[in-house]
Amino acid sequence: MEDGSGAKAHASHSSVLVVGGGVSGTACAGTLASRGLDVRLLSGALDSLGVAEYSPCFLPAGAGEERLLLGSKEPAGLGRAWFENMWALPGASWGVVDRRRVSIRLKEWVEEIGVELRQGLATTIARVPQGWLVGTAFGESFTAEVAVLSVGLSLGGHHLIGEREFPGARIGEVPSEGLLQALKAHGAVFDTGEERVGPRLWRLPDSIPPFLRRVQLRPAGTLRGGAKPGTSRLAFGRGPRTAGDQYGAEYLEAWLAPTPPLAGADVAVGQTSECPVGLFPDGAATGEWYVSPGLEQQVVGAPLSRRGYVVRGLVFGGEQAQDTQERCATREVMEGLWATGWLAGAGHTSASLLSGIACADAVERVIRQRDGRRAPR
Amino acid sequence: MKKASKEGLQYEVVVAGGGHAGVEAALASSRMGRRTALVTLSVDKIALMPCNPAIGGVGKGQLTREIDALGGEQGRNIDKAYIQIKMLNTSKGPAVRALRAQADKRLYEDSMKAVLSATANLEIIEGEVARVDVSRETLRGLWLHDGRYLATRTFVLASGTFLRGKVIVGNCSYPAGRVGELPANHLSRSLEEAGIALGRFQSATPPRVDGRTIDPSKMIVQPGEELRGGFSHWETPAPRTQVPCYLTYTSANTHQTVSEHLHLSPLKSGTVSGKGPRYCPSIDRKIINFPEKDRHPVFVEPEGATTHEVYLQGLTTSLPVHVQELIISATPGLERARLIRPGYAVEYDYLIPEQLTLWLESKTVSGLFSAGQVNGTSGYEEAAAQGLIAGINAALSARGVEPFILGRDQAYIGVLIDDLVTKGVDEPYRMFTSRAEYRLLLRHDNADERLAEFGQRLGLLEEAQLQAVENRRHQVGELQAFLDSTTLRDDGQLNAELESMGTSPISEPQTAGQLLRRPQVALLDLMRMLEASGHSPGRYDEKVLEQVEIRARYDGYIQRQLAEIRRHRATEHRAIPPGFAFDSIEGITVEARDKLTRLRPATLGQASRIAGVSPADISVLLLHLHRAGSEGAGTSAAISQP
Ligand SMILES: Cc1cc2nc3c(=O)[nH]c(=O)nc-3n(C[C@H](O)[C@H](O)[C@H](O)COP(=O)(O)OP(=O)(O)OC[C@H]3O[C@@H](n4cnc5c(N)ncnc54)[C@H](O)[C@@H]3O)c2cc1C
Ligand SMILES: Cc1cc2nc3c(=O)[nH]c(=O)nc-3n(C[C@H](O)[C@H](O)[C@H](O)COP(=O)(O)OP(=O)(O)OC[C@H]3O[C@@H](n4cnc5c(N)ncnc54)[C@H](O)[C@@H]3O)c2cc1C
Repeated sequence: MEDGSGAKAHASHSSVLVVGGGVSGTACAGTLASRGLDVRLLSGALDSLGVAEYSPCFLPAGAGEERLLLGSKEPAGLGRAWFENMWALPGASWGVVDRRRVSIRLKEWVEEIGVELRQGLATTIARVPQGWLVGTAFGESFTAEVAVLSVGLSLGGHHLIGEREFPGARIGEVPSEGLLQALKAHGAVFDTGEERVGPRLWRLPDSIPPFLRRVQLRPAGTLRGGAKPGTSRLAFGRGPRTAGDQYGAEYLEAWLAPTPPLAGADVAVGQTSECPVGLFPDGAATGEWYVSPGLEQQVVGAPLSRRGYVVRGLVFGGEQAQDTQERCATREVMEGLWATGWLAGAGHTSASLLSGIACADAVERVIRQRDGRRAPR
Repeated sequence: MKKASKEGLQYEVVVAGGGHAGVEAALASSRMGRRTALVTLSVDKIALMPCNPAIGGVGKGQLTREIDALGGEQGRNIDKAYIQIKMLNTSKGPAVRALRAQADKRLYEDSMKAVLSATANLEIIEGEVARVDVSRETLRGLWLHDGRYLATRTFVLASGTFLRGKVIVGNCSYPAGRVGELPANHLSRSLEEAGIALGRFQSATPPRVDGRTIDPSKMIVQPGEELRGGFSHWETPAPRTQVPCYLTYTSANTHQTVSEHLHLSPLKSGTVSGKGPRYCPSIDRKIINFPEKDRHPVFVEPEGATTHEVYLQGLTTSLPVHVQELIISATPGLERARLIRPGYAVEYDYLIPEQLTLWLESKTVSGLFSAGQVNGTSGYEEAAAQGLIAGINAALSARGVEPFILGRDQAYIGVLIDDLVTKGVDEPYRMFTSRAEYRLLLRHDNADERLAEFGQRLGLLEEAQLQAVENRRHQVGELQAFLDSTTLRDDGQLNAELESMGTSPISEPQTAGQLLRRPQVALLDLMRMLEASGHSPGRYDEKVLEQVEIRARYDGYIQRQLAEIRRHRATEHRAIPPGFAFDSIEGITVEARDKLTRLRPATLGQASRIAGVSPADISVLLLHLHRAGSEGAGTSAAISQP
């Protein structure tokens, strides 16, 4: 590729190029690498790799804990990164993750398992003889036999705070405008997806609304009967958490509204009735509490560190899948170009995670078939 | 939720920026009891280190120690987060000794965030400060980009590299405060409308590569050291396993690669317009500026304990990414290094610092303070030092209390701020020991003795902390007195010992204090010799011994600097009343009058350092000051006296 000054910049090639290192992208890239494939993960934000950007609530994919924890094809390390940093209400099928810790552990994992990490913001994509070519904002180009898009809501993403609309799928994120235009030029068809994210409190209010009851969240890792939380190589800073004061303590505390949610409160937007509503701790290094969307009206008197907002972004083709199986699915949107995670219709963190693994399965099959076809020659 | 009305949210102090300057400012202000809000673009990115994974070094380390001595957080935080620490220049004089630590970047952020979370009076708000509400040259409040209004009379701007930020590689660029993060594009215009002049600077960061793909066998290992203390005066860091750095050098091959591609540098092609740092130059600039050097050092530094990413200090560049890869692979030990994050440059608006007072408040808009990279500096330590001072002064100002200023003879922090606001900057400013004229007094080892009293008076340190410093000062005096009053004579054994240390024997009796002035005589040995000859010097901890030794050894120089300070103090600290009419002074040059009128120095010392103001001008100014009847104060109330 020319960079406009006459110097040759060669595109570097890999079998698979995953674009976007969020929940689904890290799962997909890591899974492929764990199966010996040559995979590069290009992401705009290596410092927040794998972060569940929006909330610490890890919602079930539909079939509950079993489905999640089974993960027969889940590569070693991926589940641990999530579950060792997750607390669950015993017996329930959902949990609260320490987003920060998960991110650090996931980065450790993808590095360890052999993913080629690269920081870069994808701005173009084009079909080329070798497969797909992705260009970045810094003028780099990468080619791959198969490209996987896992850029979340950043395609056409914008967010609404109150009445106002801002660019970016989340506050502060650069939207993928160039990538969107290039995909449209290739004939990609999109639908609009929308989701609400709740606000964060910087501290708990002095008086907790009476309809919230205090619950203890137990480390999900111990539920699995193996891994224990807090076994990372480093001891981390501690927020002023009341019950879970010590990282890796037996339990953290949350405040839950009875299920089904409060009559009249606008709490169930876009979420199913099995979804818990309440105040959730946002990780061990911060004093922040995540507030379920709709509850903000009820929790007054505590300072807000982040406002709630609505995100709109584009999703590949068709209705957003309602069926559980499909929600964890992945789509081949053009030959050799796959979409996973939110972009493929996965509505929750856990669904995105499973979608990433499903995508790795599908892509592995494609690559192995091609290798098989090539081999005899 | 609260409505976006002007009455919405009220704070005594608002800080914009969760970087190194902003967190110190917010912590200082809230610890001093002010209701404080820290507004930042992302609550997930607090105290992020966007460039080198290290705190300290010569000059910078002194700043961190001073921050700690005043009750700031940077020293304690790096003590929690370091993965390697060492004392630099142990073979040189105490003035240039300093700690340097490699940080685990993620841990550094997390432990800082945990501290913020546990601090009373402090709230964090995710958002972008988009407009300042100024009327009659006074700050009234702030508008956030999402429409909220924060009512406040005191605001600390600590926006780092984000104001109209743009990141650049080769001839590519896009708006960003750092890679992947949106810039703050709105505030600059509002500041300019309020009469604040902005300039444009540029800074760049080197590439990061996969540490598993470097060849350490071609490099020099740079291990850490087992030290008893860390940066903090107040807590002893827990021991830990340390991670090494590696040193390699660029080769002729590297230089040739750079030279061949210089035409692609954003500096040449004009993609970059801001001025960059001379003292942290890119590899391109080093090769242009020092053609005679056939190699430059490259330090390979870990980015953390849970990642394989390593930082290539010395290979800063914003050349196109494929050229970066060529440069890396032309460097011994990095032939196969795999690039993870390309180096890049960032260009941003800074506030021309001569518009600030010595307490970092704008001279144009009262209540507007600023600190950090936005004042034209570079570096975490420089940022944190200003953040602390701006935070303290914002807190004082919110209650109508006189500002807190450190002099050039009290702290590197004083040197830093005086340089910035008096001389201005024409490139990002970085601290060096050579900038301090009294560096033998402003040592790394005595920061607490110099500054803890201020910290305690400001409410940033506990009484007990100050007491510990006073106790040590007392013990140092006690031991010094003992050594000076204890005479040693040769008993055969003593001279033999002295000779074995490589120093001459004594013929006349000498005091232990005299012997300690000899560079070959270590205090620990001397104490042993004293005990052997029947004296009992008592037990003292390491810090006391260190102070006594340094003072004995450098006594001559220290006394000379102290005398110099005393000589200059009268003029240096002579206050100039805030409303002083510089424009009516007769008998000085037009240039001097213009500059004095514009810069409005707060002290005679500050006036004397303004370029274009001569000693003759200062004498005339002094005369006018006498006449103006500002007598009474022989020295200034402006510079804080312990
Ligand atoms: C408002 C909202 C609220 C939600 N609340 C919940 C909830 O409470 N519970 C729950 O379980 N799930 C929730 N979800 C769903 C969950 O967050 C998503 O399903 C999941 O994060 C999607 O994962 P992903 O991998 O598709 O994308 P993401 O995790 O968003 O990752 C996208 C990644 O791509 C990178 N990227 C973007 N553009 C580019 C580019 N051009 N080049 C390179 N990299 C790029 C980004 O930096 C990021 O790392 C919510 C989602 C939203 C939008
Ligand atoms: C490309 C690059 C090169 C660098 N090169 C060097 C170097 O050569 N040497 C060196 O020592 N250091 C270098 N640095 C390090 C660094 O920028 C500073 O030295 C240090 O981080 C400055 O600290 P700060 O607190 O002033 O600003 P930053 O750390 O930049 O923090 C600014 C903070 O302000 C917030 N913010 C900005 N605008 C607003 C607003 N309007 N409203 C609310 N919040 C806002 C941001 O979110 C951010 O949290 C470099 C950094 C970068 C990105």
